[in-house]
Amino acid sequence: MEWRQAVWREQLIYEYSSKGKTGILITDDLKEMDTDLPETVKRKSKLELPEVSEVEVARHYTRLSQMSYGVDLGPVPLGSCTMKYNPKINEDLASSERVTMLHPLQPMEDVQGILEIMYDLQQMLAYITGMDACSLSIPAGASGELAGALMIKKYHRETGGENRDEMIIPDSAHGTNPASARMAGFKVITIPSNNNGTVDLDALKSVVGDRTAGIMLTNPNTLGLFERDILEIANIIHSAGGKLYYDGANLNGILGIARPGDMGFDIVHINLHKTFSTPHGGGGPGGGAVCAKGEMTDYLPRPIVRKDEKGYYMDFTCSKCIGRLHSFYGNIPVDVKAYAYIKSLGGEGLRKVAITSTLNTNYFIKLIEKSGGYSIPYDPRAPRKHEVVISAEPLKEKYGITADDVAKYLLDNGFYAPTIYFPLIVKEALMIEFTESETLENIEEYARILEEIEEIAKENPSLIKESPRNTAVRRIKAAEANKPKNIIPTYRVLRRKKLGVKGYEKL
Amino acid sequence: MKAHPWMPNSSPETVKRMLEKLGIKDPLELFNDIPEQIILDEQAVYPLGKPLAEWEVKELVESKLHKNKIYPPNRIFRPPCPHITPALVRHIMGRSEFYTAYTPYQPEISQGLLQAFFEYQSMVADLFDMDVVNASHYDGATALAESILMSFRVKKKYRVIMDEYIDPSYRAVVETYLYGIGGKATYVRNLEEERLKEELENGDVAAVVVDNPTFTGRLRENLESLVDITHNHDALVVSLVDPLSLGIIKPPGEYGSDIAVGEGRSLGLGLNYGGYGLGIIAAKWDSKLVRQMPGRIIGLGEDLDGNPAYLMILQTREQHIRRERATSNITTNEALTTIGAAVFMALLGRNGFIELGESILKKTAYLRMLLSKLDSADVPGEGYYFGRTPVHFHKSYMTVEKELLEKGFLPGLDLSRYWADMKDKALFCVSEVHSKKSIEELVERLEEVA
Repeated sequence: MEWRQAVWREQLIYEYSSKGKTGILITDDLKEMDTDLPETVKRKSKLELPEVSEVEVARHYTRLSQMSYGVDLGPVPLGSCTMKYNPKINEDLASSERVTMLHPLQPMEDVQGILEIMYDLQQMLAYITGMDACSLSIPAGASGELAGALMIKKYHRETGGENRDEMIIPDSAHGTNPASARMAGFKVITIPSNNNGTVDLDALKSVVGDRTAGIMLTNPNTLGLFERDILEIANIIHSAGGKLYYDGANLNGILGIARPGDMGFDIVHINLHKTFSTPHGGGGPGGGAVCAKGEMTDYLPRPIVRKDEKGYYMDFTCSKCIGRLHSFYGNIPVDVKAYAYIKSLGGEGLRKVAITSTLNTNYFIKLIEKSGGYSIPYDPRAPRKHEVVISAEPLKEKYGITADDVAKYLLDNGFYAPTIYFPLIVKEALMIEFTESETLENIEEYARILEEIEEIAKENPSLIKESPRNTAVRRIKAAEANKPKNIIPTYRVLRRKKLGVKGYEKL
Repeated sequence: MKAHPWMPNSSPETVKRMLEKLGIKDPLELFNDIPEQIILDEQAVYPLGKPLAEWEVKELVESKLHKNKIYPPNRIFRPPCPHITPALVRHIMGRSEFYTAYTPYQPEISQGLLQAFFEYQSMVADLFDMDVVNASHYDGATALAESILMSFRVKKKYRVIMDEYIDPSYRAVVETYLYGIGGKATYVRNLEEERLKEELENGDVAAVVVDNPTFTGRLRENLESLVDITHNHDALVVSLVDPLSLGIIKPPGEYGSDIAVGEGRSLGLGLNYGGYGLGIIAAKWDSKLVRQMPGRIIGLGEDLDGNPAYLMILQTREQHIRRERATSNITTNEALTTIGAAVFMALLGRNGFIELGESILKKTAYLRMLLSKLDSADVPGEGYYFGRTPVHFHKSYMTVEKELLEKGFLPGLDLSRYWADMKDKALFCVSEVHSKKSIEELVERLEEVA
């Protein structure tokens, strides 16, 4: 397949500006009222926004969209991101006026429909994860992690464990885990993975104690491996008085097969924009749920949707809860999409998601396991689940081709790159997650391109090094752009730099 | 269910082919490493229901959504106010090249996304009169919370001062974040200057939050003075503003704010039962501030051929690199809504922001004028109001509210829900979506019931 991305060389929207144009018609039915404001209140500086017509705005952003790449264009096998297909029916349903026009502070009687959807979603997510209750009042996955860490903190404060200030996190964890633990005020205790790529039990035992607040774990982990000692891990942590927090980013590969609640986890967060098909939107908005078991349910963020004889309602009451993490109730349209997704698939379909995504991962491994360019670190025989991490280290050693080079060559072939250089415990890591949405043909082609890189590298490594050529721009000089004298975060800074305004020489 | 349309490899034929290659008989063999006692059997998922066809799901969801009551925008006078939502905003946000994309970790293939984010940052910067804007936070409340944490890191102090009458939902979110790191908040009624100075005397305050307009819509007339007092005590000013006001109202940069935040929902995104939000965080050109900013920042650079190219910059602040030493845990943000907001800001442009601001200003004044003529209510407060006004009723507001709801209006927010001393006071909002006639109709209904 010959692939070439659109190259529009699109100027900034500011550069379309021409005095007097407008993109919106605003009418005035209060001409008799004046708009005089005193100097103490009024804007003095000139508003430097562009003046453009609706036509130009429409063309500009449509052209920009053509220089973007998403799941609707081809595979986006970013590991730990679960870039599955975003069903169109979900988009339609969430854009109903009965969602978009709903006011967040309408009386509960007015909003029984959306509350019912949220309530059912809470229940279904609790069932899927083996928890007792869920709160949807978080806007994204990392917010759910913060919620989980705060719940653990509050629990210990309530139960006389004020001195429990250590959160244990494996070295293979997502970066958000330690960052969230820090935001909850914990000291992060990093434990190494063992030779099989899973939690090292001896290392774990050596760090648990009366300062242990809990552990943040993802299972399957970021290597795609199931933590087979999970029951013992749970036992070690619980015996020490700690709680287990489950990072839901990797839930896709075990949906309907195994549940965090049965593994011993006390708190789970879920990314609706990963596992439950709602789009990533180029980085957000996401959606989430944080769920808990037993006594930990008291600590869930508020509000939670509940039901009594009068109907559904938002429960804001909070005696032990950690409080609120959003000005309202999270990203509601995302909830509607996730609800429609779960209903579409049913239990059988969700299980099929886990089976098909895992089958895809292992089929891909089979295609590349004999390749000389890549290795599969940590227990290569163990089946992977949602994702696999391969290493381009052999390529680097033999031909100087790095994970980054591999990524750029994949782009040239019209495929998005894997997550690279993560997890940190794998050198030249390529973290690949096809999800259940990818076709056999694309998986085979992906493997073929990886092999092709090695073939080309043997003859002419510079051909790989010069990738990408078929994208809207060529390789970007990132180090240059990050130098203090080169930082340009806005058009305003660019203007000032060009004019030589004092103070803007460097950041 | 044999094959599913969203899972191309789920047909028995393809599964068979894949299993043969793997040399196994059953895909469940790939789950043999999971302890047997926690493996679910097939029946375990039955309570989640049977798969539904597209038309069945549509019917199911629509039947539920049908139970939601929708008020026409010009009947909603309760904050957060509805605002215009141009069709183009929705259409651009509906481009699946955008919405099915991930965070642009591979910039060469994501220039369109990155440029749109850069334009969002740029237009917010011009609107706010600030230099650096991040690529978004979850909503205004979390943007405020993280800005306060940012000020703590910059100043190495852990107390913030806010107006006692700050938006209560923002207060709630800020307190959750403060609980995490062990920070403290102090509340000063109306940011009264003498009280503020007293609180600052201690020297342990990292930031003062200046909300303008206030939660009840009042435009502060002592902004410079508040900033001076704060800066004289070695603290930062975090401004909380309404982006739609800034075409005509003094922007944060003009009065010396160090950090500015806002809720971008009003930039064409719609109400959506309170989410999508769009958290805006801006800072002035100061390395100390910018290096402590949370979230992604998009910058302009060059490719190997010297063409302009956009990329994520200053990433060493972020969790995927810095882990527990990151400036925040944020990863997923509100990216797509920033594209919507960029479209909105581009459509409005310089003149649109001024006209829209004037429209809201006039409508607020008109509503306050009509309300002040009512025998049954007072309109407290002097000076200038933007988009909101408090109203003090002489009878039970609960009764007024109930009757207005019955007449098809969503009337002001009962402030006694948040402050005990606000009995029978309500907060009404008004915006460009309210015609002169709809404002008059509201006041007529209030006259009838109050």
